[in-house]
Amino acid sequence: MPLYKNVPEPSGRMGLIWSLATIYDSAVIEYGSMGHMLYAQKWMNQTGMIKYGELISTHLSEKDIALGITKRLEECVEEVVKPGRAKVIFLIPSSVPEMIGTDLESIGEELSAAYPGIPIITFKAGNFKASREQGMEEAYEKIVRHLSEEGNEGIGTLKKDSFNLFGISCDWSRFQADTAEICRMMERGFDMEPAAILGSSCSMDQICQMTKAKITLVIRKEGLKAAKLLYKQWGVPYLYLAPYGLAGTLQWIKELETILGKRAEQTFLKKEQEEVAHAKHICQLYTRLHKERANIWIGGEDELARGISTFAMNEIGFTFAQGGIHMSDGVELRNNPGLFSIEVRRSILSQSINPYELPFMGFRGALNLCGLWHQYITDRTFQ
Amino acid sequence: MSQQHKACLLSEVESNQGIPFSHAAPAVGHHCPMHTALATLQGVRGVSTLVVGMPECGFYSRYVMETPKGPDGELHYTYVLDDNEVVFGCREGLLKALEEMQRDGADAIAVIMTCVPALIGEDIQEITESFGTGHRARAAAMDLAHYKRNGYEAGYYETYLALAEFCDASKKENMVFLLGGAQSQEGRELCEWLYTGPSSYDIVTIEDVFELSQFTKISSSCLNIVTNIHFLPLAKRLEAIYDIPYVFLGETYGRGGIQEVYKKIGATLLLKETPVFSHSQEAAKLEASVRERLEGSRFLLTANIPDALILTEYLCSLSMTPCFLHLEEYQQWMKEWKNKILSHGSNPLTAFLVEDSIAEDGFKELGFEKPGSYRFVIGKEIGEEIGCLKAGRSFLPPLIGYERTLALLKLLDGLLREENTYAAL
Repeated sequence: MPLYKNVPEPSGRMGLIWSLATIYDSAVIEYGSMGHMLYAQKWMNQTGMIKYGELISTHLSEKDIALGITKRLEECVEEVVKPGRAKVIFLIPSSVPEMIGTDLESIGEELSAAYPGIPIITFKAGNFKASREQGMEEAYEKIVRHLSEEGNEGIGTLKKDSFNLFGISCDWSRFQADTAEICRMMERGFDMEPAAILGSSCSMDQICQMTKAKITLVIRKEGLKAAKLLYKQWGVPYLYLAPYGLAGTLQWIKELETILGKRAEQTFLKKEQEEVAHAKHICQLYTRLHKERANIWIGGEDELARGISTFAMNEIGFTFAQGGIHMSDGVELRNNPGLFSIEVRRSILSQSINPYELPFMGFRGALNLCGLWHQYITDRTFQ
Repeated sequence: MSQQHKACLLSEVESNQGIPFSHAAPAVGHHCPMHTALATLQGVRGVSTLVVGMPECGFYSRYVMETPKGPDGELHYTYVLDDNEVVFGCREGLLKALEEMQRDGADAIAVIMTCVPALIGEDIQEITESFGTGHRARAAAMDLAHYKRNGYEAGYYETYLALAEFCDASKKENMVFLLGGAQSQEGRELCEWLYTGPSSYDIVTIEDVFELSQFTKISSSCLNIVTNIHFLPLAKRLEAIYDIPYVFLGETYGRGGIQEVYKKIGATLLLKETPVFSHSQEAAKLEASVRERLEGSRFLLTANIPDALILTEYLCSLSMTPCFLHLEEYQQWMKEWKNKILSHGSNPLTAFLVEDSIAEDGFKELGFEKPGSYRFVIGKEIGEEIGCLKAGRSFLPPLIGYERTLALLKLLDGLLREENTYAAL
């Protein structure tokens, strides 16, 4: 019995929108009832992203359903294409058209033929089983597949060697800060600039630079399929690893050095390492001192949960148990708060307005985590 | 309207489905009726909710019902159909869910059906009735599939209507229900008048926030006075089921119509002579002035105003011409207001305005650019030369009778003063 007392899991369609709308010159068109898109907009508004794609919903009526009329969708695409409202159109399904068997893919093909000047990409993960993860995976994979078609790849405009970043998405807190930290480390460590950033803010022109990149950084498994396809089609190698903690970030840099065939800039690396090592040492010290309350619990089982818990347990000395620090989304933390709660995932309660918050990934992410945990360990109110 | 915009004549509108969308690519569109239903039920203490639909319905409904437990122990759960239920129905699962809600302490459960269960033809009404026999808790069904209408107004109508399911037939008592409230000065004068009757009437006010236990006494009411259009279908239903008469005090802005409604209240409750309400004289004076000065002016109504047809009819009666109406909801019982507008010789273009913008060329097609006539919009500002009665989610404050009419007339009068200011420049 699918009764939910709290919040149901996000659907594939939501995964699609959360991934595609981050391409800010896109139009995400949903063929279906109208209300969902307004909520999706509210979600996107609260991510802290200043720019994101136009979210459009055609709505449909009983007559459209009974007779299989798709005129609304066709007119909608026309209204987007003619005034040049977007550089790419993503057609996403919703539950009602899925139910009546609307062949969105064929309609997309017809529309692509009618409007050859603009990419029109259709997606499937709007069915009744697709999960958020499947939606995200399809979003990334279909974009790469589109670029794999002849003539769709962009003209190289990047001045330096570049990298792609797949998978940091707006369902994680600090996703913009994490993106900025990875870009900073790549720029300072390897003198590379970003090409396509799938999941955080990005333009369609940047997406088209994807095939010219020297490497694809895959942060979560949802980006892996797209990265493999990019490697197969264009020979762009990939690294699937999320840089959490000091050891995790150093490992990530080591792997990058191997793939890129060059060493990271040593002065930068040394300084960053020293800074984090100092903070880590102090945090470690107090954690050992107050072992009795050095418990940490992180909700979920993805790269974020694994990365942070590995750092907390293996490098700092926390025990994985409830009752101390709890790290999860706002809803779960409301229902199951720790003595000290840290939001690491976004939920309907999240209102992120500052994209420059401190990250959780990379060197500065490790510093931030050490700072937060140290605050809990040393704060007398928790003793 | 222009190629980008669509509209039909008001005379062509026969149902919700008959109202065309103004734009083919609404970005981002409007809320669905599930949203307004939940927002309404947030104010009803003692009613639990169960949203039945897809993950989006359940997930995003938490933007309204943030917590699964309300302040008075109400439960707000969601039921997400799995792929098997989408094909074979969710009757069994839903009955079990209602039982579980009862076990968790729910007494009255509003079951909100969204698009997919409606599409597969799930008979939620039958399920709630079946559940009602043999269980302590009661359930009421609401069909709020968005594809059956354009906007979200149905969320209000259907919610109040569903609450009637929690009532039982009972003996008439000296109770008068004010559906929609009457907190204004005229409201207080109305209540004072009601106390002058041969019987001592208990006046129960049902507004945005109320308790279900208080509401269910409505089946003993001897008159329902509707002051907010959202309660009108409920009053009609209660008349049909329990033979409770009702009057709709918001049915007109015209003084004659208001007087008629007050007369009907007096006759039903055997009250003394209708009093002279404080604002009636001032409204009469200002109405004459506004009629004279705004005669022949043209207007657009672009905001979502629940009684858009009633408002338009009144402005027509003051010799103004509507050129465009944003109509969120059209029910069969609204037909008489539509016909009244048509009887004034006006037949405005009508659409469900899904985006704020109306392109300049659209005005011409709306007949809005007729030279020599004053023009204004009820909604958002659209140009310096066009007067504006600002309206968004609300237009007039919650006033009743002559006081409401006076408030409208004051706005129109202020509009003219703005026009004079422009003329002076």
